[in-house]
Amino acid sequence: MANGIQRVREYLQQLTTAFGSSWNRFWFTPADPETICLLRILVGLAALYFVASHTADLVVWFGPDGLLPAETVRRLTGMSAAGPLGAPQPVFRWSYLYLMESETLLWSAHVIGMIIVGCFAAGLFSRLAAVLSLIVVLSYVHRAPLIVGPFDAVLPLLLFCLCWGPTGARWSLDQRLRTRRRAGREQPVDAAATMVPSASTAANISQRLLQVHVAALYLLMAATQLAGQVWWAGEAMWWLIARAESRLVDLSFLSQHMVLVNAWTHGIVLFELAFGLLIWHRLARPLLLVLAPLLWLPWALVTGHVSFSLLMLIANACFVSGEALRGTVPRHADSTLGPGENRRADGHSRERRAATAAETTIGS
Amino acid sequence: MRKSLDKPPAPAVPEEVWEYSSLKRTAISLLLIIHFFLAFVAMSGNLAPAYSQLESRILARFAFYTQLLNIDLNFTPFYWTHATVEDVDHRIEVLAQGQRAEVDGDWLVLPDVGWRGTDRYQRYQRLGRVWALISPQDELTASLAQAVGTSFRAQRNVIPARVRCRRHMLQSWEVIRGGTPGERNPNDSSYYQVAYDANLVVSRNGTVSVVKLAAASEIAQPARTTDGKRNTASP
Repeated sequence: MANGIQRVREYLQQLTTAFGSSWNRFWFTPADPETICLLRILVGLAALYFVASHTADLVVWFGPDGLLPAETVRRLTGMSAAGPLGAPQPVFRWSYLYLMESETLLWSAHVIGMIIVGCFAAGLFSRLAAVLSLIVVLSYVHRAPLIVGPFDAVLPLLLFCLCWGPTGARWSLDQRLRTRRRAGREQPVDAAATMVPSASTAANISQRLLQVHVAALYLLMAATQLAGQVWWAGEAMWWLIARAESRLVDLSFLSQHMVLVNAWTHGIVLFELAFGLLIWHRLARPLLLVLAPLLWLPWALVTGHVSFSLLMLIANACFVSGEALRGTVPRHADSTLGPGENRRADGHSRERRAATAAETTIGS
Repeated sequence: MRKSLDKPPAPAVPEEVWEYSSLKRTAISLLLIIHFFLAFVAMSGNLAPAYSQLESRILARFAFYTQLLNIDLNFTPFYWTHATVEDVDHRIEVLAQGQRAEVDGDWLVLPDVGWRGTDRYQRYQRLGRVWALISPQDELTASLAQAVGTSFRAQRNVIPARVRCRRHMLQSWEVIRGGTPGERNPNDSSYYQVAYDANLVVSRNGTVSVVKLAAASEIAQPARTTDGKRNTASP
């Protein structure tokens, strides 16, 4: 009896130690910031497109006589007493655009929003610009939740993840300003230091957040699809092809080849499941990243969701390591490792020690 | 399992190898766990038709977080299609005063802007979809109809007389293979189904009033096959 309790105690101790070590290694091993810096540019440009895409219809949607008066949106989202759920309830879909009651104010806010998002994409005051860009994008999303699409839903998620890391460490105006400032003070500029930013835990947390969210998003898509009979039956792609006012190319000739449509439908679900689960596997990762455009580009042509498809491809880049982007991957090393997985290849001593120690713990 | 139990406990990772202190790591870990837990609960609403009581309570308590960050993706179905009437193209149509309702070309159609691959174009479709979705709720749809009428009057200088939201139903592959010429045309009038229809009355001071034409119960329901499955193929 005592022996049994001792074994259970040992098991629980090993479990918590192993889990804790894995958790720490996953989240807190310092990583190179190149990946999140690249994502800052790409997601920043996507955010700029998102805000700019409202320009032509800004007054049409949000203006005083627009299609979505603030009061109507408040009622639809349950913000007012006359909401669809009856009694008033606290709703936290805040947007500064609700306060812009005149066209002048609306245009001013729009231009300022675009400047902020532009600063983020260019890497100017990156940390502050990241948070402000998230607020700008969320304000548009919350002001018009009725017209939110998949692109608008994923974009804030990516911005949220990028808020936590040093996204201006590389390929940014911040970096240029830092270099100039040092040169102005006539301090010796260490070329290597300015070219190769040091690894940081914040960069790893930001990248890991992105990775977990992106993988979860793929699993969410697969799970919600499998809740519908048409995805099991292999017909779902047909019902997307048949949407005559959305499709960019007419593939209705595939009605003669429904086996292909079935294969396409099943292939999408299979890929989404595989991506969500196997992207964490070192060998499967490059293959999944290469195959992803084969899913998203035809998808864009059928559904018309071009921006969303491109955003998902951008988001996939979070699984590419900083070393691979910098082009310093040693021969024979995997080019798409996650942060903290090939630290022995270069010389960040703290992260190398952390990874080694964690690996030793897990392996024991 | 037996083998691993026989091993000695693993040594702890030396504290100095981490950039963050133990306290900081613990605090961040806690925040991460809370974030992912709430994200999971919020996104589960996309999986099931409704939240459980427990999920609803959790989300109500933490709405300040899930709603603010838009983790609560209620308006965005990530399944793309389940082949229901909600998963078809929608359009909003406005008839100006003096035009004939029976002539399709007389209706002003939204979306009427740009390339269909842009979000700008798709936003109008999404508004139509939500409109059709809430069509049984007269008060809400009336406020949307009024907003559309007001927008046309004020921004396009069109005096609106009628507004409707129509679904563009889908062709089945069997119809394309062997249907009549009319059935094979995806834009045939038989493929359109009215989800909402109302007359608009513009007063002298420019205020738009709404008089709904079809009650929710009169609006066509999704066609069903003999085995009870939903089917949008039939117009």
